[in-house]
Amino acid sequence: MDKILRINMGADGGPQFSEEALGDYAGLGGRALTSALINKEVPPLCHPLGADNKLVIAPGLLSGSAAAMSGRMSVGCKSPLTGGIKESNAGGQASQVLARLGYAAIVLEGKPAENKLHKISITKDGVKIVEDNSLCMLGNYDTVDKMKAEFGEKMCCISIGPAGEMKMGAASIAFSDMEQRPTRHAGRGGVGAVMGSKGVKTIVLDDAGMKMRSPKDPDKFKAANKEWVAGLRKHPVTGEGLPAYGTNVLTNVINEAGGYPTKNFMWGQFDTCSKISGETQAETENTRGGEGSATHGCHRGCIIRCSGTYYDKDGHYLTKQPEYETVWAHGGNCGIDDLDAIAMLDRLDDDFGLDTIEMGATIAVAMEAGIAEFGDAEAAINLVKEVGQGTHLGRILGNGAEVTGKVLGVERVPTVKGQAMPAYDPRAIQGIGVTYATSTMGADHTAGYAVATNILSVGGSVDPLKPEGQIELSRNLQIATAAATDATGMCLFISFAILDQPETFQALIDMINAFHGLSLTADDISEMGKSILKNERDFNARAGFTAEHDRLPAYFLNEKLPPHDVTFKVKDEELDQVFNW
Amino acid sequence: MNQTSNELQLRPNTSEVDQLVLSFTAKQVPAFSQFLGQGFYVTACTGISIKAFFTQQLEMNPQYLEERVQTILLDGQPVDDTDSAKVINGSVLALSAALPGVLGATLRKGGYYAAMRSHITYTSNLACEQDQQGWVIIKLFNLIAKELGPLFLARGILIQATELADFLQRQGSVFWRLCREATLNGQSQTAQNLTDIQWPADRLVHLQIQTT
Ligand code: SF4
Repeated sequence: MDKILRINMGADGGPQFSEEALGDYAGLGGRALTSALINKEVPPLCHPLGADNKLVIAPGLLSGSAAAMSGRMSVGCKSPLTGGIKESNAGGQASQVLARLGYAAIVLEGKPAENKLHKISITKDGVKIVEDNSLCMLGNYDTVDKMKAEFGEKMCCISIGPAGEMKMGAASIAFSDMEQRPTRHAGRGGVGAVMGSKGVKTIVLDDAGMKMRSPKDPDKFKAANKEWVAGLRKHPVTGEGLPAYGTNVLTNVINEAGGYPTKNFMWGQFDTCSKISGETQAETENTRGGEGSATHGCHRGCIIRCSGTYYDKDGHYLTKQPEYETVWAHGGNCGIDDLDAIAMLDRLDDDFGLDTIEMGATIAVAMEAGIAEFGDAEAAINLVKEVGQGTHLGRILGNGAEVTGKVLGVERVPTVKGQAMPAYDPRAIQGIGVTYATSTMGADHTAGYAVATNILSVGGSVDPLKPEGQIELSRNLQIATAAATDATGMCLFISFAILDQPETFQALIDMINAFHGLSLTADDISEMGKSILKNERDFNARAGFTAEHDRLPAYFLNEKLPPHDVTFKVKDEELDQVFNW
Repeated sequence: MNQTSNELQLRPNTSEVDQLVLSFTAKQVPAFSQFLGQGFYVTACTGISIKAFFTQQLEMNPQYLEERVQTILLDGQPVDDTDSAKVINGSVLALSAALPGVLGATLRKGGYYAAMRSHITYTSNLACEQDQQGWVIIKLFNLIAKELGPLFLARGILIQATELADFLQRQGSVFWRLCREATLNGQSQTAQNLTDIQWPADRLVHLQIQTT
């Protein structure tokens, strides 16, 4: 992983590629690399769909090695949805394979003069870029099937669906999973539209003939990895809760706490949420597909296995296990309590290449505008199909909740910096509202994850029982998340084990050190997190973002959320302190 | 629009309660997590602390309450101190094991990130009389439902008949194949009989799951 592959899609005479050493980006992986590169090389005021924008696809620091959980991929660019910097990440096989092929990043640059589609293949024998307009407007499932037929069963695929080709703000990039299905998505921020603007439909990777990346100190690495795996297995969240129920285990509890945004954020509780809870979902999957169907990894090397397989009533594969955010967005937020309908919406989103959070939030806004009734699952399915077909209404919806709210005249539009909020109402859980408001990414559920801020000692000590601690907590969480997971390429869901078990966190640091021959400390890791956020804040400032963009929509300050009847109380001056470290 | 139409009434009408017993072989008990998650009634001696309610009245192992149960919600409000929060007549108590992510960390009892949900944290110090007979609703989620659910179901849980009817109607052939016997008020029932019953809206059913 010592080189960067640059592909200029706008070169004279057709796309050209070159390889170069890491240079300034040495030692960086995942979000650390994507954000540094975007901040340095992309003009902040450029059009996100123009030739000056770049799409960076980067594995994490430990991807391609034997380290458990190390297969997340970061995708960075200037976002067509927010206008700011974007890092969106996904599971799937590609991160491990790209790293084993020796690349720390693929950078798509420029823009073809004509509206043509290309497929790129990368193997040990080299890089090939071929025009292939037969892929035009194919769904991700058909695209992957075609690539499988052409490149064989061992390849993995990075692809866009029709939404990316139509350059929609909600367009995702799909990463194929272990079964070669396009189920893992870099969903947020319209990264698929940027890939579409580069005229790239798919990137096929095959690491046949390549070896697993080997550590500088194999003995230390092996010992640290063993400790790491043991730590993940023994924690009740990573060892029991997530494998059994997936992330949708949150539904019942968030609902009970009154923080489950329902019917476009009008209520904090959804009365029939138990029908779509993780518990019910896991039972449904295990009953239809056999015991174990609710426990599956999204890539080789995942030992938590928070995913699963969703089968229809007749026992046929429908989609992967929809995650909590998806079940909420297409479920409770639209008043829909039918798991089969939600799974169908997930399948359509994956096939068209759409962010499930943005689409669910958008349909709820459309429902509030009267385009369909809350709770009407069939109407929701038809609306997503309109997006995939690119009808006039579909093109509006495919550009996200903010655009849809403007076009349809809806005031209650739950977005920050143009990106729809995920599944927690910031009036009930105000510390999360601080993160939604101030994240460099727009409202984002992965910024500020529960990472071991105390161990990383970012931001000093906080009295967690004082309400004013929320600003510090949000800041520390954003720094620690950026460092401990996004930069290392580790799955976010490791967070609880490293939050609670210092020895497990130390094992992660030991693994990085043994692999790269470094001697990083927790302080160095926290500095890495700060520098990621500094790069992103710097880019956003130069793109025109000010403190006024670090705010929640006004209705969160004015409209009380039942059942607790709370409004968002954190003051603007406090929000402005989040990045004062 | 009524958002809580399906919720249990806080004062159950216990004048007429049907007794339904379903029997399964021990290895093949279907999950009843829907009822455990929606909540069921338990008679309670109210006015006592949450800790006393669970450990003394329901005989829960104190260590289990302390360590395994990571989030407790009392009337939808996260509880940090199980000694000071009191159970009163009509309380709704929900129990969860550790949850993932920042939300999981935030909702944890007494956790480092508790400040992030301070606006909904349980703070009431209601003066309430001790030792009154009353009812509470218990909701069990995720691993807690898996671990404690069978114990509660073996003793029997009190639920609304309309919810039971809805549940039974949605069960397919697999469920009824696993069910070895069903009795309602002592009378043996077929699957058809049970799914055809039109229960009155306020009727309660004491559902007991026997394993053989
Ligand atoms: S825990 Fe879940 S999201 Fe993370 S790598 Fe495993 S399956 Fe993928």
